[in-house]
Amino acid sequence: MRYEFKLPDIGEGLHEAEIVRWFIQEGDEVAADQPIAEIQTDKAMVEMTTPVAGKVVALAGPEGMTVKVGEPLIILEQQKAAIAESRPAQQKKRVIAAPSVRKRAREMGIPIEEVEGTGEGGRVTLADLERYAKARESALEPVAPALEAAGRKMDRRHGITEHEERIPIRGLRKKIAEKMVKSAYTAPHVTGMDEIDVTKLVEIRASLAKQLEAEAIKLTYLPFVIKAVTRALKEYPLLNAAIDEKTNEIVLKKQYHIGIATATKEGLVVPVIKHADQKSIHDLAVEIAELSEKARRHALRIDELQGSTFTITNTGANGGWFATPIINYPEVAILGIHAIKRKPVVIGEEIVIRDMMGMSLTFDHRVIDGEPAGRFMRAVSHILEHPEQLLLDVR
Amino acid sequence: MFDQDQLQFEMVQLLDENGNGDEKTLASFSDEFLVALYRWMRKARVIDERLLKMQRQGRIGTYAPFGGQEAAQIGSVFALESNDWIFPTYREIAACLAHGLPLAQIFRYLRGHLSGGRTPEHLNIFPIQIIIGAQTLHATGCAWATKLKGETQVSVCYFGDGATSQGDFHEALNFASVYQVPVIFFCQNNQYAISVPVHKQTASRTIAQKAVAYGMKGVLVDGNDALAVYKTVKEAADAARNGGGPVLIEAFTYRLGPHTTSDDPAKYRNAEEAEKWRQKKDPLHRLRVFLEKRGIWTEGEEEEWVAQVNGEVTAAYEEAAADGSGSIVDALSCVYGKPSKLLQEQKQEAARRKQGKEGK
Repeated sequence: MRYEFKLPDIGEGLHEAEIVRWFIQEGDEVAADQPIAEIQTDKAMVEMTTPVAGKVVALAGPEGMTVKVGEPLIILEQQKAAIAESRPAQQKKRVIAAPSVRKRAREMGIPIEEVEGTGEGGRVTLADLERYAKARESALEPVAPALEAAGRKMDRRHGITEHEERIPIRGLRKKIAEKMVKSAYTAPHVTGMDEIDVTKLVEIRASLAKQLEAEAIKLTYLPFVIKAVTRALKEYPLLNAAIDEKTNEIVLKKQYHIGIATATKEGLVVPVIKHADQKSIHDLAVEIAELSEKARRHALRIDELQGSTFTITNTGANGGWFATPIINYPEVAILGIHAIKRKPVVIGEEIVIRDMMGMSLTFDHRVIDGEPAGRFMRAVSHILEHPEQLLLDVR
Repeated sequence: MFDQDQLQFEMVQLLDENGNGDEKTLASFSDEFLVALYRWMRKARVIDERLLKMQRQGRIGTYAPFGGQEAAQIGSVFALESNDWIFPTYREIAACLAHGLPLAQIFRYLRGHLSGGRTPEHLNIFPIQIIIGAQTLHATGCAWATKLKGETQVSVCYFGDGATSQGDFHEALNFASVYQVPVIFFCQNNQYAISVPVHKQTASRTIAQKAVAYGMKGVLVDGNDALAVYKTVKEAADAARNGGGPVLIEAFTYRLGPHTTSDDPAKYRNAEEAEKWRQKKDPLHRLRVFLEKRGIWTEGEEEEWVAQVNGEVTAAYEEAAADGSGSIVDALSCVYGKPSKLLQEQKQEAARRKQGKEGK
């Protein structure tokens, strides 16, 4: 027998919820009380468990889909023995209905014991059948495609035809899209670019990285860049700021929480290193590793994704020489750091080979003009060119 | 100058987080008592977890989990006589069950069935109170009545840290102390009143110290130590029964789950904080470790007990579910002995709407 687990009102006056993650798939055998999905209501993220055991026949739809309260979340095929065990009371219901109504119910494929009779003494009427059929139709609609496991409708849902594939913009992708549009169409973006001579830094990092290997810590260039940035931000507070649109004010931040743009399979997330100015290169390396690992596992907590005052995006070895990063709104600037390449450079009257790194700074021209932005870039470059300066921060 | 430190309250603890304590004191508890106490706490935890799941399955309505507060609730009830009065809130399901309320009755209540609000005749359990702090007055009144009638029962009032900001709390404690009535004000300080942390609730360093203002005894006890809770409540009950007057007890504990099934604690408290309480301070853990060390509890017994309780939960649910769930029509039937014309109309309207909703 089929059992439809309809999404109950698990809040107080809930209308719908979004499916965040399925723990099961079609064909799975599930036990009663087994977790089946994580759903997001307008109040909370909630783990759902199935009330009965059975074989999963259909899921309401893909992750990211919204299900209304009262619509089926999953459909299970119950074993006969299991039904007898879990629903003893419902078996004995005796239905009163005319033979013609019973016949019509069979034709319509309606289990008559499930129809509520409104006729005399609870008698099931033809009108009751119609109403039941209508309710069933509207309730089943979102599940129907999944029910026709191999059918055309399934393909339509996933938007695959011979010539194109349609992927719904949902979940993280939707959030990224909204944020980028908001930023790009609100802040007038200007990007400045420069090359930094990081020859000394390359040496220092290589030497320290080897030492940290023993502690199984991976040391990248990012901790050095973060230290350079927080030092420069202290000198140019206008870049460690946000715009408060409601009050039309520039809000200068007195804490240095650095967002680190991090790629995951599902898209970009920006975990935040709090009080980055107060942390050592060593601590930063450890924290970056933790945060990016958590990002990949989707295990970041909300407070680890909020509160950044300035963002750094590292496009890495394959990301080209320069970029035009989009500001992590409502912040007012973002720094892109790029590949390090060995390049010929003029020093004095000589051409020498140096390790060069590309850098791009995008800033919100409503708040910051070109001149201070240039000076900030100069400050960052200067520290990275002379990394021994960071020793001054050692306590 | 005023210095709160003069009001410092030592926290009563018999069993630390790792199940250790003063051997002589602990030896005074019998094996039988300890196993019964632990069984009840484990049972409560299983029930709490099942209720949370059942709410997510649409089988019961809004539910306020008590997970993490088992020691405070079960430990306190164990210290009472079976005819003592208790005044629970919606979070005291464990205390109600341990004091005798059948589980099926809890299910009826959580399914909105009218009969779920009724306490069986022989039990001295007040109806579950939803209004924050209101029951403090009921408890004081009840204790006054027992005193006037010359009865021996003690009244125990359960409430949370949030309730201490209500006016009722002041009135109840003041009156109880002036009239020296046999009532125990048992505050489970679980750190949050929905989302409000206790430091924003009160500037007092402890809730126990508030007793000083009313001229009554205040005790701060480790609410996750069932034995300390038992001892503290037992002493308070013995004193109250012998004319010693009221006591305010603060059981320092932590709500591991959400405020209710409509709440998301991640929005207002650090996940690490909750995890720390779960990992290090679980009230069940320390008692179990102690029992195992004494050689009176095994993994096998644990498994068997959990399975048995799960069976009881299913059976109790089915018993309650057979009665259906509550409806507005039923509620309107219980307003007056003889319904007025207006009420009749409302009842018909409710019935019409109910039918409309189901037919849709």
